[in-house]
Amino acid sequence: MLLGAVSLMEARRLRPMRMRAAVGDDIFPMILGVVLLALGALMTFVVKAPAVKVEFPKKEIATRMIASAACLFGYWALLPILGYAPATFLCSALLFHLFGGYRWWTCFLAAALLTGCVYLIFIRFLKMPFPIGVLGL
Amino acid sequence: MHLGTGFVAAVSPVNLLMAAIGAVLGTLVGVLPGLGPASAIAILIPLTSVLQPTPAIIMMAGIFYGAMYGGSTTSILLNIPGEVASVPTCIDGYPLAQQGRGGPALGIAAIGSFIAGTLGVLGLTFFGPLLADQALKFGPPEYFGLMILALTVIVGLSGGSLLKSLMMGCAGYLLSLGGIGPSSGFPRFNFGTTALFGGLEMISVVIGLFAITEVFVGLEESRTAVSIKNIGSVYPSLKDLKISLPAILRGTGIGFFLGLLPGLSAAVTTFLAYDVEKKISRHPERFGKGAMEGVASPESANNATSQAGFIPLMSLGIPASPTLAILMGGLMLYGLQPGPLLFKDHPDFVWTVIASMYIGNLILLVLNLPLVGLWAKMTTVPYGIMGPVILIISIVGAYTVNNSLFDIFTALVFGFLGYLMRKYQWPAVPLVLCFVLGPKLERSVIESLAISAGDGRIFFQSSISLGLLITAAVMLFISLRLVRRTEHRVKEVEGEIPLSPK
Repeated sequence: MLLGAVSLMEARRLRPMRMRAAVGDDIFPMILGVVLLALGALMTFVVKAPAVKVEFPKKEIATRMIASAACLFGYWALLPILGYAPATFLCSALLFHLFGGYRWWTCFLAAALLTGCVYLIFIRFLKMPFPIGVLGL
Repeated sequence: MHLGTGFVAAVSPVNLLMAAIGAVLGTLVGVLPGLGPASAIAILIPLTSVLQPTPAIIMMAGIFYGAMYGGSTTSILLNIPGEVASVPTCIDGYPLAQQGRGGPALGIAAIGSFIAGTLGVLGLTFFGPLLADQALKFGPPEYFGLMILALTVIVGLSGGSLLKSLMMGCAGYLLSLGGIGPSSGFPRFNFGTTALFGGLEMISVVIGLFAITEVFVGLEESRTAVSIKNIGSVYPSLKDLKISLPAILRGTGIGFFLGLLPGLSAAVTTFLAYDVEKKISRHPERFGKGAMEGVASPESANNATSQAGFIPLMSLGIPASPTLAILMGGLMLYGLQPGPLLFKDHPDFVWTVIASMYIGNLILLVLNLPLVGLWAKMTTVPYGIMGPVILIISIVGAYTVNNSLFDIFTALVFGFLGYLMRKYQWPAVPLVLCFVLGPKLERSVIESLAISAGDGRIFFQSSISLGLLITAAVMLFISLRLVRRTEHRVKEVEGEIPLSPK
């Protein structure tokens, strides 16, 4: 219903920008907004969706999952600052540790291998321009 | 004539190499437990970005076949179906593996995939251009009818709640609206940010919803490496072949012809093929305990349905599965719009790709039979290694589509959303399909209403459009019935409810 409301608001904003009287870019968001609101109302008030029993992971696994997610968002943030190689090395070493619980030297070795392989494929072979960061790597 | 030209181009060294690389990579990624064909293709599409369109699409098609085939390995050896369509393969495949006959079962799956794939391409060769010719007569209202017909696909992929699927479909349409408006040229849904000016990148959304989500689910389930029993020789005996060949042909027929109908996904056709095989067998008691036909028929049906999906994709621009939706996204990255004009405007491209499909199927068979042992070993790689590798490649893949850091952010956010959606049982597949179909549906609505000066009756005035809308309603009903039946069968197989008396 929230998405429907957002869609209708955007349709309202777009309406004055119509190039033709009959149709414009607001039509489809408007239709979608109405349909989403109707489906949301149907689900909330008429056809109650079957209750879903959600079990979230226990503390230890949850901690590893949250740390892994934080590590990925950190990777995204550090990539333009540190550059491809250091950021990928650090992120993958952390992920190997979080996922497999390996010793740090094993994680660093695996991270170096992964960083090197991805570098060879994407940067050397496919010539993708990755951020080089302050270290120039 | 066209196909001949296509074959000449397809056998060029570059194209052959790309078909082989695609098949191997696809199988490699498809074999990894929990990573289905959709994730496999989404991760690997960026690898094709430096290629010319034709070798790139050939490689993508190879990845598609490879990933589809790779899924059967985990079903048979580990009893892990990558998707619902692979559940019937597990029923007899896993008992065969436990009896030390995993090798012949994989061999039969490879042969079945090859036969179904080849017959499917044959269907595409003949039906594709015919359908595209007819579709050239379509105007905007007819396209609207076609898009509504395509929506019935959602029912086939709805999983639990149809209402949730419809809402996810609408959310997918909504997400597709971001970017420059097709009519006015003004930006929409960018909320004042420049990052959203071009809308969301489909590959990033898919990588997030499928690949990243899957890895986190794997971490939660604490997936571990699996030791595999001796799989035996991969080459099936003459007796196995004799038993399996009719099943392969029946499975192919069921999978291909039903797969042409929108709304009937591989999940439906594989169960139908398995049930038909069991019903007509003289020894139905063998099913569930390691019947080779129980592997041959659903695997062939799965591949035939996937292959049949190329017909509406290439001739009408309608993807029948999430995997094909991603493939369609890959085509669009190269500025190629799947649909009737593809046959008309880019015949060389289309026929080279079709010819390469024949070759790709053969390459897959030739490569996979000797490599089955290697693929089986892949499943023993610890998840502590595999998970981070998939995550890093996914993120790098999301970045390389547009060399944009925002695409990485998009993938991560959708990975998080995908995990929550999985937990609360909101299906991601309708969202992806509608995200891909959204711009086409919107264009058909805007153009139709522009023709009729805003009169909505235009959608019902053309006989073709009306016919398509009526067909959509009928297919909706049939699909709903068949999906409910499939859900019942999945529960039976998983032991949640007792088996129905035969």
